Amino acid sequence: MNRARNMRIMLAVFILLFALLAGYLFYIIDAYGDYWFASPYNTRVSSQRSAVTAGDIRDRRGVLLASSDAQGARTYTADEEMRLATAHIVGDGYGQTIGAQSLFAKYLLGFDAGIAARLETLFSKEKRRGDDIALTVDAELTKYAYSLLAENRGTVMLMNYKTGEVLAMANSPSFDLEAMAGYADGSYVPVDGSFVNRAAMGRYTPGSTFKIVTVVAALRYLPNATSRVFKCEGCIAFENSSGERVDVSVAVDADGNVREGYSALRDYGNEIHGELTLKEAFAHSCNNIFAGIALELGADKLMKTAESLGLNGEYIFSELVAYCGEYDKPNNDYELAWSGVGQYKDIMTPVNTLMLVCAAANGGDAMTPRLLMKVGDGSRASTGAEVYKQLLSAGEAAFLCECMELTVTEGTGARAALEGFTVCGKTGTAEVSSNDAVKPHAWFAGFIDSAEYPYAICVVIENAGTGGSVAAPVASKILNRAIELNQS
Amino acid sequence: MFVSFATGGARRMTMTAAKSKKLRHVSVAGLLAAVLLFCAASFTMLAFSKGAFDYRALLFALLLCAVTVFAYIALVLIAPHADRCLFILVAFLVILGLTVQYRMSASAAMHQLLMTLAGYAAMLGACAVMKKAAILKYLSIPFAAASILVLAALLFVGKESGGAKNWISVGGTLVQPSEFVKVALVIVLSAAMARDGINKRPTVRELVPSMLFTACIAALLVMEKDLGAAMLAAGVFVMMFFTATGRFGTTLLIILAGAAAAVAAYYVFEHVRVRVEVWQDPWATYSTSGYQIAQGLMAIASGGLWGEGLGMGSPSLIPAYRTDYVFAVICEEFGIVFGVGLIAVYAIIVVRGVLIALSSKDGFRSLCAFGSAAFIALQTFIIIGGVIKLIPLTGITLPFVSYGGSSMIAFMTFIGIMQGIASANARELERELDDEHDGGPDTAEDEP
Repeated sequence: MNRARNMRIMLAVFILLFALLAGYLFYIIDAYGDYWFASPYNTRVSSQRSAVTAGDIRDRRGVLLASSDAQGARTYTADEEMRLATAHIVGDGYGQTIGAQSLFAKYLLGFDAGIAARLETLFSKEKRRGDDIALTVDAELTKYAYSLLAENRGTVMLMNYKTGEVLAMANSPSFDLEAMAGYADGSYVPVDGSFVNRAAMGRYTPGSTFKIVTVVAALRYLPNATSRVFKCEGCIAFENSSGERVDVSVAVDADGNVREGYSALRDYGNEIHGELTLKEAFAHSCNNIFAGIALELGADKLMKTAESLGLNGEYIFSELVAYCGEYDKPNNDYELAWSGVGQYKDIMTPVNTLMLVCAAANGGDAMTPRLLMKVGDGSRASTGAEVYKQLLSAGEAAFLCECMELTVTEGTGARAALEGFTVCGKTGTAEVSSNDAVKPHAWFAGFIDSAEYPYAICVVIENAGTGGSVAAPVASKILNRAIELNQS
Repeated sequence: MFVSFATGGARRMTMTAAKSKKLRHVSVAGLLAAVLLFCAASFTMLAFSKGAFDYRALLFALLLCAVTVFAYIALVLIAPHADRCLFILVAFLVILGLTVQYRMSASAAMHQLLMTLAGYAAMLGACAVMKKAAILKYLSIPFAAASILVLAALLFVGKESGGAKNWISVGGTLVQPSEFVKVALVIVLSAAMARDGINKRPTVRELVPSMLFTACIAALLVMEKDLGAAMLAAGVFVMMFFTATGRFGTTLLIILAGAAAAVAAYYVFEHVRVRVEVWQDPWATYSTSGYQIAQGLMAIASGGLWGEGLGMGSPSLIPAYRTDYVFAVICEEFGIVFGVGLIAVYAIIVVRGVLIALSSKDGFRSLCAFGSAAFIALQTFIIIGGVIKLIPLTGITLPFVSYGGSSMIAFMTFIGIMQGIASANARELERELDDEHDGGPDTAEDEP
């Protein structure tokens, strides 16, 4: 109990505080530094733009996507459809989107140059030129994906699930990079919503693709989930005032009409599946069984599983600005049941769904999405393939693969099949309006089970119909094109 | 390495006094040379960076080196046993600060150089006074009264600048009296809490007046919207209270009361709420209240590990780039690695301060040195933590580096207090050795 001892304790506290400062400084710059640097608010980048000629951006095959002319002004590929298809990948230079031009400005504008190069610029009157970069995307494939979206709003993202390389990322509607100079003065007015990179930041109702999450929760918390037989009676009923589950006979009359004050959860087209295993229920996308599983699990376990799969989290990828999905904790049986089948307030981004599919395809490990293939002549290559997180155990991944395979062989995803390849996937049909005239969003998320073509894809087409009839065929065509392009 | 030669090499002196003395002088000369070299190199770069060769930068550097060496010599003359390493580290911070100020505005740097001179003078003065620390003990009551009077007067006659109403104009220059209140606070608290004898400690009841005094100061500062200074005063009180009494329970209770006050402030004051919201997400309100933090973070991120290079950044984008945000400017141009080095320099200064306090036998002096170190530690933590978004931002200066005379003079006074005590410690030790061996320190050399 003397002063010296107390002072030594305080000395330790001071040292801890300073260590905390230093550690946090390193941590926060390591985690967010590239984001902050690439922020559209960072005028240091735009002021550097006038001092340095930005380098070229090419795709993985060397197709030129963006370049600088003799005056230093930015020019883009002359192929208009490709320009629109790759607009979100390349990114505008006016702070509307965050693409390669801002994420990799460090290289394009030579911010990573050594002191010697900087001093040289200081003394020479010549404009310095930043490094050229090559992206992992395949511009041809992205263009093809964009063309399939056609007049619809929607998005396609295709990733190599072994390496995390993003091969295609197309969004519709898009904007014209070449016309962006006229955006500030209002002479170019792009279509409403065209600046959103839907693949990475589009917050959609997931519909049945969310059953991937529910299946994982069942595997984790329900005993004998894989061997059990589940029963679909075609209807689960709820009382509207309390939101509690009630017996079907209470809520529904003899003709099958729902009585006043009650509501019913039914399958698409009022189908009754009868007795199914978990795998079959997944393949046929049985809402009743999955809602039942959600009710059996309870909100806490479903939420815990969803969060372990990335929902409600934050993606910090250095080469892609992306959002996670959201799972809002349900308050009663009604909300819980619907949340288990991807309705209620469930939100998924295509990239979050794709990460789950990639993890299933890759033995449980989700790879970090990558867009940068090489800088300059390749002497400073990007970081290389890197596991983002093990989202699933090997057993869970294998079971999900079987579920998704069955979905394509004999379930709702039949139209995603490709001759000569094993395609696995999940369809989704997301109801987004109580008005029957508004069509649902069509989802398909899946992958090719192949060591040679390890491609995973996520397709969302807004207000276009069911996932199985609209999104699955589009996914199949794009996967086929990806294989073709990589054969030649 | 710095730590091992702590507090005038007091412990080593008992073994081989002359040897350790020699060793210390050699290492310190090297350190001083390195700091002067840094000064010369950075100003040479600045001279070249503005297109035409700016010979005034070199003159400025020469002047700065001269001031540093002069202050060093004066310190050694006044207090032969002063902690030279501590002085040189502070001189490094001063030179770094002036480099950054000069890079932004040569005239502001000239003004700051004058303030540095005043600061060194304050250091030497404090060092000399600290040798007769007893005088200060008796002055603590007047100091306390003056502090409260000045802060209270500011409520009526204070000028508002940078959001806080705590400035007064003295002969055309704005002075911030709250900076000097910091020094007074340390002296008043030390006098109230110090008890002679190793195991004597004040009771909690005896410390109620000093608790009230601190609360009064903090309340006045909050009323003047100087939240940072209020937080500092409260924080330093808690640290000194714990050191003097060693009561974990009571200290925890005071911290809880402080936390409750902070929560109350959050609900009562709109500007406190804004600070916390901005801290949580500066990007949400980028165009208004979040602008400063976001700009600071972008500046640090743009600098990367090794910085953009002196003169190559865009410091003026950040509001308060000369004062509160100078750390972000340094990180942008010198890099994060340098920034961490800077944090380490502050850590070493604080460690040496606490070691000086530890080797003082006199309760009052020991607490004075400890309080000074605590102030430097806490202020550095609060401002750097605020800039890097570790804690909510409160606008206070980065000691020795930020632009501003009051802050410079106040913190130099703290260093002077430490130096005076270091010197007193060494003399006391010498006297003890003399008594033991019936001879001077020279005979100690013969000991095995």
